[in-house]
Amino acid sequence: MSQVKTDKSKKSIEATKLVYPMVKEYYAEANKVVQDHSKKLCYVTGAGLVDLCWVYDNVLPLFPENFNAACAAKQMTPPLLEIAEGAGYARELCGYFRNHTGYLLEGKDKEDVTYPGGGLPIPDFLIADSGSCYFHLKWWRETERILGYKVPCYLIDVPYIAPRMTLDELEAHYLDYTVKQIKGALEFIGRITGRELDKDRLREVVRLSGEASALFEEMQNLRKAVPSPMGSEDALSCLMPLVQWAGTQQAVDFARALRDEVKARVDAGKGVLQGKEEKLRLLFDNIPPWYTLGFFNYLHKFNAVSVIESYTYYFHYSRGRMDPDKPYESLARKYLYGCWFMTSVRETVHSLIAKKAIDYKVDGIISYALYGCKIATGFLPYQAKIMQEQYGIPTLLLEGDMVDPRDYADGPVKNRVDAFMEMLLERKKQKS
Amino acid sequence: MYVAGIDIGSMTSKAVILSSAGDVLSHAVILTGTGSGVAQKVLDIALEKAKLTQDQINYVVATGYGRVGVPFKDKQVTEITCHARGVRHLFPEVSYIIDIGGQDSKVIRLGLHGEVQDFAMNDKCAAGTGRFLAVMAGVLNVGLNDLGPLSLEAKEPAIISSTCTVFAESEVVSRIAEGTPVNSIIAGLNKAVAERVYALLRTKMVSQIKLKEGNVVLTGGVARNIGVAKALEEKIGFPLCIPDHPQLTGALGAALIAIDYI
Repeated sequence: MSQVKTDKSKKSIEATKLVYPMVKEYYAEANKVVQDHSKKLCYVTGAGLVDLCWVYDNVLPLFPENFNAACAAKQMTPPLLEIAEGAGYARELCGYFRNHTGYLLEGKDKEDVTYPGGGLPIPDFLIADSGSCYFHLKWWRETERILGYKVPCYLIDVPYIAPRMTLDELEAHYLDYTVKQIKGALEFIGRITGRELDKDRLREVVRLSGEASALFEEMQNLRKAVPSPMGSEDALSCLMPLVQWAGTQQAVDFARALRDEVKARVDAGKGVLQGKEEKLRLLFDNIPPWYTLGFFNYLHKFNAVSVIESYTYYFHYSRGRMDPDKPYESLARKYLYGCWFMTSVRETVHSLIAKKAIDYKVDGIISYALYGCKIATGFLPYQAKIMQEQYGIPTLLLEGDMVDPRDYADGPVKNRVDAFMEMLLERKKQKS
Repeated sequence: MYVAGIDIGSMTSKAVILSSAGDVLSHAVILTGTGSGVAQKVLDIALEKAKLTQDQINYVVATGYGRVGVPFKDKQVTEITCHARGVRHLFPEVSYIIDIGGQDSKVIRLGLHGEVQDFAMNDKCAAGTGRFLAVMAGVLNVGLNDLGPLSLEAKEPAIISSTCTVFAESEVVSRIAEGTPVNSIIAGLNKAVAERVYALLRTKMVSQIKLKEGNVVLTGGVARNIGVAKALEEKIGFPLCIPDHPQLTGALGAALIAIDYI
């Protein structure tokens, strides 16, 4: 158990309460599959190739990243991180990678520990892409090594979108390059599962993936309402179904239930602060500290709500381009979007962060700089400067890790938050 | 009517007593230490100097890391807001405040009306703080108050490449073993702190408000170290404004805020 002071979150949304039972049931099925071999288990990376897995009815995709977040939420990561560090992995590496590696090396064999969902089973194969994070490729290669090269691995290289292009104007060879690899990945899964590719099923998966994303996006747009119907303490916990089940009816059903509930709250004028005046609205930027989601509830004491996140915008491919009649191109665009989101800073600062900050009427941004995540962190000071100088919106830069509570210092973090809230209230007073 | 501002920092605790007109009646600084009751102790000293009793104090604002634990406070306000208020009172033209305290260093940018527009604090490590210099003074066996004057005697600063307190300590030990003069090592340490804090300042500079003589103020206990101040001035390019009692600006700001509530 963690010895670091952290806070569990309190949720406002009923749909959020459905998530953990769904996850638990899913892991129970995965652990059953280990015994009866009725399906092939696969590790996939977040926001990655999960849709491809759902094309085959005898594949069960698993997300080590989600497992790591669940371990963090249950305050279980420090012993696993220590195992990885004891094996020589530097503490500056990705927290997700370290936790998962610690689990694979020794953690999974500890019989006295009850892991989320009963534990993450060993997979039959691995697939990953570089769209959301270049480090995923190294992580999966390392997993392949730890598993003794007995588990086949397929990696997709998603190219960096050069500044001469936009997401709307991609050069054809970028799409061709990515489509070719998607086809290769489907062939790879087909070989492992012994199944022919069912193209109708592929189209159906693309349709369902797009539908869940569209519903989630609709819900995100509803969150522009004042008062905020749903804060980050709920929204971040609602990501899992969209990540895990993108391409299934289950994700669509969850996204619809969530959309309906948020809409009902907006229609009724029901806010997170339950009738108290919403004085400050915030945007939370980057992967959150999963072990202390109560951080978002702490903001409420200042009558402040974290009304939107950059992170939740990553997962629903908000541009609505999943066309079942062009399944390969749709998937390629989805994965390229991931790479654009993470690396095309020149465009994303304005079209994602600044646009969200304005659309959601935020007073300030809290950016969480992750020691181990260079790709999502390196540009944050630049972003903060742009947001201040061009948009007049200040940023509080906090530092830590998404799953390692040993890098989290509750006192200094809250001291900075307190000062930021005082500053925002004063700035608002001056403006009015 | 009288008010008090109490600033409980990681190394020192400060108190300022003001009249309702804003006149400073007394102030006190003591080491925070590890025991309880430091807020009461520092207030008692200030009260004695002002020839007042606690029941004559109409309002108390507490600030600093230990503000939550001040039992007799009427209100708590963060040190960012209090420093801004205190410094602005002393230097009405200020736009940028650099505060180097025991546990953290911070940069605050003020707006036209003295309101905090933006701020940054050092990360969790002790680099660039008073604690860093206190540890190094111990390694070099010199008094903390001597770090400034001794560094001015150096022909040139030694190169201290790391501002990590632990690694820098090893580096200092190596420099001693190499025979580098102590005053050069101290000058190198002061320069390392100044460089670190200057980088923090740069993150909060905006093109609309340029640094200029008279609008940059250095506060905090480390402002008393003339070596760090000079090294910072060298980086910035002009003399900094330094209050007579740079440690007291947080407590002064807290006391000024207290006046708003009586």
